[in-house]
This record gives sequence, C-alpha cells and structure tokens, in this order.
Amino acid sequence: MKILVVDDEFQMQPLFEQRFRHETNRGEVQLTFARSGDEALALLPDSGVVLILSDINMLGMSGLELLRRIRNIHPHRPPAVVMLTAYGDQNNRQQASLYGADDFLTKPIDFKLLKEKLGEYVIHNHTTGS
Amino acid sequence: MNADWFELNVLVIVNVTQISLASTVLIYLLRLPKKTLEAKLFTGQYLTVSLFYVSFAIENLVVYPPFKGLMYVLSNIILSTGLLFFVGFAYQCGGNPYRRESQVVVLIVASMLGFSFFLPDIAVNRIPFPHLLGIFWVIGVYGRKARRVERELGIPTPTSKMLRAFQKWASIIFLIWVAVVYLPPVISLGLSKFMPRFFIIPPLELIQLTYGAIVFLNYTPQRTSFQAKVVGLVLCPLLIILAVTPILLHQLIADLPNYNSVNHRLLVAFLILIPFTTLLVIVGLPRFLRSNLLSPLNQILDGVRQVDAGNLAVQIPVTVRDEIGDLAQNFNQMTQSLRQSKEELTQYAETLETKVAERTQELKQSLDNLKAAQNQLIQKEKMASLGELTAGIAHEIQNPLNFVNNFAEVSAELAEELAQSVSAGDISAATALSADLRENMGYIAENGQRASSIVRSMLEHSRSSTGERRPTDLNELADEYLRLTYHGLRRSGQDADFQVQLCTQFEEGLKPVMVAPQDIGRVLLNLYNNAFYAVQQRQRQMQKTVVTGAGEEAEAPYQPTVWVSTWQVNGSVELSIRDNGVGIPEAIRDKIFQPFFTTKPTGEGTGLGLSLSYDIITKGHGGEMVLESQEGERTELVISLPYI
Repeated sequence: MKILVVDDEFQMQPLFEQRFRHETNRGEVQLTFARSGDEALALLPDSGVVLILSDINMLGMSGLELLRRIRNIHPHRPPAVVMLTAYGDQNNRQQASLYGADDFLTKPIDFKLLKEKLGEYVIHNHTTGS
Repeated sequence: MNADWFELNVLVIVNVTQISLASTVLIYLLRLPKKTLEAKLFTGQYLTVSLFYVSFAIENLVVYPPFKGLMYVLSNIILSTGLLFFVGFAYQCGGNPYRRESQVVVLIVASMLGFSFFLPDIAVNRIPFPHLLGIFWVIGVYGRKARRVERELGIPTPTSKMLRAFQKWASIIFLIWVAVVYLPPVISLGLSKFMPRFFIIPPLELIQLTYGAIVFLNYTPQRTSFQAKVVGLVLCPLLIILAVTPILLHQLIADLPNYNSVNHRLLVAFLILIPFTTLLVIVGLPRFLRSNLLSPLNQILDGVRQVDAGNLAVQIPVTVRDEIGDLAQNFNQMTQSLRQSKEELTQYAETLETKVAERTQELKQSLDNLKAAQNQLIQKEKMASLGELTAGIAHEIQNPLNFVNNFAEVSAELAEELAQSVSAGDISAATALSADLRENMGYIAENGQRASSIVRSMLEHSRSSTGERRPTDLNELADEYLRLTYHGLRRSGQDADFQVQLCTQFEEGLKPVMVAPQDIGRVLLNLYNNAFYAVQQRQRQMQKTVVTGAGEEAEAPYQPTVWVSTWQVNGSVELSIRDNGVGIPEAIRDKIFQPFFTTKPTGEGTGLGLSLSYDIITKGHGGEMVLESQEGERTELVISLPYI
C-alpha cells in the first residue's frame, strides 16, 4: 500500500522510514513524503496513494485545507486521510471530521497503534470501495 | 437807672443779640487750634463784626452828640478793617488764583481803611458806598473762583460748593447793606409806617452770622464739631425771636400811659434774657448732645473700631432708648451674627481640613487599588498572551517529543538489530545500522534541545520580568516567537484553514543586543499577533466582497503575508514587522499606544498589548517604536534598539 506523509518537519522522513523499514523491506508499504500541502496535491494524481497522513500545523497551506481540497476531488476513500497533530483540541477534531478525515491522531505518534489501524484503513477501503 | 447821657432802646437790645451771637462764634473760632491763614482771616471777620456791634450798641445807647461823632469814626475804622478781612478771605479761601489782583484790591481796601483814620471830624454815619462796592466785588470773586474750579474739573466739587455757599453769604451781606442804605430814605418818604427796617435787617444779620459760620465749619479743612453747628442753628432763631420781640412789644406798649417805665423794665428784662439764653444754649445743649448723642455714638464708634481690629466679642451698652439706642442694639446684633458667621467659618474650615484629609485618604486608597488593578491587568495581559501561545507551545513541544520518543524507540530496535548483525558477522549491515543510530542520536539531541528551549521561553514569558538584560540574538528571538505565534494562531478550527505567507529577512551576523529577552519576546508576540489579526481581518473582508460581488473576477487572489526583517544601523539594531492587512485608520493612529485601546471585540483584547510593548521598548530599553500604516493596505512597525 502506498502511503503519503505530509509534514513540514524534515525529520518526519527518517522517522517514518525507520519505523516502517521492515514493512518497506517486505514490500508491504511504500512511503512518499511531501513537505507542504501544495507539494502533496501536486503529487497525488495517479500516484496510487491509498493513505494520506497529514500534519495540521504547517507553514503555508494547513493540513485541514489540504484535507478539504482532497475531499473536493475524492469525496470518498481512497485515499483515506488521517490527520496527525501536536495540538488535538476539540475544534481541530470537529473540523477534521467535518471535512471528511478518516482518523485523527496526536503527536507523539504511536506507531504501534498506527500500524494496527493501517489494516483497518485498507480493509475499510476495500469494503467501502467495492 | 435812668441817666441823661444814655438811653436804653430796642436798637440796643437788637445789638445785644447780635453781639452775643457774633461773640459766641468768635469764641468758638478763637478756640480752634492751629489756624490756617483762611481760618485766621475768617476769625478776623467775626472779630471786627463783634467789635462793630459793640460800637453800634454804644452808638445807639449814647445820646451825647460829640461822643457820638467819635463812635462814628470808630465804627468806620472797624468796618473798613472788617472789609479788609472780608476781601482777603474771599481771595484766600479755597486757594488764591488771582494773586496780583488780590494784592491790588487789598491795597485799595487798606487805603480806604487809612482814609477812615483821617476822617475823625467828618462824623458821618458810616461810609456805605465803598462797602457796597467791596461786597459786590467779593460776590464776583466767589463766582469767578467757583466757575474756575468747575471748569477745571467739569463737575461741582466740594471747593466749588463752598465758594458758591460763601457767594450766597456775601449776597446776604450785600442785601443787608442795601437795606441799611436804602430803607431809611424809603421810610422817610413815608412809604412805610411799620419800621420794616427793624424787622428785616436784624434777623438778616443774625442769619448771616450763623450761615457764614456754618458754611465755614462745613467746608474748612480745620477739624470742627457737629455740636458747634447744632448750637449755632439753635441759637440763631432763638436770638432772632429775642431781637424781634422787643420791637413788637414796643409797638404794643407805645400807647400806654406809663410807657416809659414799662418800656424800660421790658428792655432790662430782655437785656438779661439774651445773654442768659445764649449761655444756656452754649453750655446746656452740648451737654445734652454729649450725653444723648455723642457719647452713645462714641461708644458705637469705639465698638466699630474694635470690630475692625478683629474683636468680635465686643458688646456696647445700650444707654438710651431712641434711634441711637436702636443703632447700638443693632450693632450688638450685628457683632453677634458676625461672631456666629466667624464661628461657622472656623468650624467649616476645621471640618474642611478633616474632609480634605478623608478625601486624600480615599484618593490614596483608590490609587492603591488602581495600582493593584494595573498589576493584575498586566498579569492578565501576560496570561492572555500566554493562552494565545498554548497551541503554539503544544505544537512546538509535541513535535520534538514525537521525534525524541520515536527515534529513541526505533533506536532501541536498531541497537538490537546491530547486536544481531555483529554476532552474525554482517559487517556492512552493522555499519549501516550504527550510522543510522548515530544519526538518530543527533535527531534526539536536537529535538530535546528544541523542546527545552521552548519550555524555557514559556517560563520566561510567564515569569515576572526581572528586566535583566543579557546579550541576545535578535534574529533567533524573532524567529522563535514567530513560530510560536504562528502555530498558536491555528488553535481554533475557524483559524485552522487560514494560511499566511511568512517572509523573513534576517541580517546575518547581527551583533547581539543587550535586552531583557522575555520582555522583547512579549513585544514580538504582541506585534506578530496583531499582524496576523490584521491579515486575517482583511481576508475575511475580501471573502465577503467576493460573495457579494459574485461574478466579477478579482484581479489577483489576496495572499496574506507577514514580513519580518532585521538590520543593523549605526549604534542600534532595527526590526520591522510588516503585514498587508487591514491597516490602521488615520483617526486612531495616535491612540493605539494608549492603554485599554483596542479595536478587537469585547473580551478578545485587553487593550494593553501595544501600550505595554511601547513601554517596554521606549522606557525599558531606551529604544523607539515607529508606526507606519496605509489603511486597507499595510501596517509596519519598526522597533529600534540601541546597542549600549
């Protein structure tokens, strides 16, 4: 499965690469990174990305705006969109679910939980996509 | 009592009244202390008048002809002397403007006097025409002098009034002389039977004597007394009556068989009555006045002086029950109410003092309260801005924590794998893993640093400023707070999809500046927040206009932008924060640094941010804060901090 990680923190890339190194080595997961919403939107078409993990607080376009735009193009999954934020207050959660986010995770990222949920997003994808 | 050489008749009685009045005035005038030339001349007149009446009385009394001739000469000399005084006084009183003329006139009169010394043998019953002329001239002198004074000042003055009064006096004297000269011929022509001369001339003469004296006493600069005037006014009509009564009685008894003895007894009685009456008035009236009017008046006067000197406790005895008594009583009442008012005033002044003290205390209390409130407000503002920071702080801490936690966990895994590789002898895998591990350690350290720096900033922000200055990299501080503020901005859902372009241009190699970092941090936080608020407001406005003006294509989409730049100038470092937001209207530009001024809706801003920032920069750091704005386009705040 192809995962797109959107975050303006460059260390996100080594972190995800190391955390998903077994999955990547086994070919189960393919990681793509974008440093801004614009970059992500440019990358998305025909990329085969099924899951987007996006930060909310980014310089330039915010993660919520990105979510809104993605849902404008793809009202339903794929791709599934999961918001990752360091500040998980109620407003952000509501806004995210209103815009059609599939999940809302807070930093520090619990990769164990994320990995467990990955299948869920994909299975979910299959059931809703068919 | 009867003898050959003299004869007691009514004319003598008239003369006696005249003598007693003239001599009374004369005695009073003589008793005036420190006489001026005027007073001396006036006294001279009354002296000669008195002497004349004495000579006249003798003349009327004596029937022996040769003796009579001597009397005529004597009376002429006296009259001429009198005229000399009369003329002299007329020129002297109220100032003499006609010095040369007066000398000539006095010389003429004096020569007339000299002439009368050489007339002992003529034995003429007085020389009336020169006198008439002289008196007439004097009337003119008074008139001229009065007119002169009035012309100079334009209004009647006390001097001109006095001159007019003396003019009237001279006119009366002139009238008397006319009567003296012209009535006898009229009588002798048989035009009148009733001796009008005796009814007109004596009263006129008495009136003249009194009038002249009163005018003099009223207007002279000499200190005179009220008593004298009253005495004169009482004495004059009394003597007129006493002078005229014998004449009337004389006509009544003229037909009696024993006329001579009755007439004689009558005249003797009057001869005694006149001096007695005069004496009674002169002695008795002042005594009465003193006890009934003057001493009560003096007591009141004394009381007035005491009140004037500040003694309000004075009470004067009320000795008489008349107008004067009323005056004294009213005076006592007045002092009493004055005393009361003074007491009230004193009391009021005292209470005023305590009131002032009370108010001062209240004011002091208010001031203390105000200071406490101010401190609370400052604290509140600090906390409010800290609240605005919460999201930023969370973001700035959770992000590094995310890396620290995850890199640490993943490193543990990598270390295990490294151990396995080493035991399996896979050197290349071990090398790659150790490189990853080293990199991860770097990430962990870096992010740990980042988190601790954020915490330190937060603590510094909330802590009461010590104001302690230390060398600070303004670029670093500006960047740190920009990030904090920017991330803090998106804590609410409504702001979450708001994006702003940040452009920073920090001059490299900026010399550290001595500032209190937490204070400057607060200023930066404030200015950044304002900038973001401004661009946000403008974007909202634009969205509204796009909605209302649907169909029209906007020229260029609005890109909210905030520019932050620093640069160094001579002796100071400058920092500019610029935004392309709504701008600040001209009208409120000079108010925005005032405390409690805010354009934000109630509850959203304390109105203290900019005012505190301004104080921190100017008072706290000796710097400057300059505002430049174009309404609807942009706002720029430039902070200048001096290197010291």
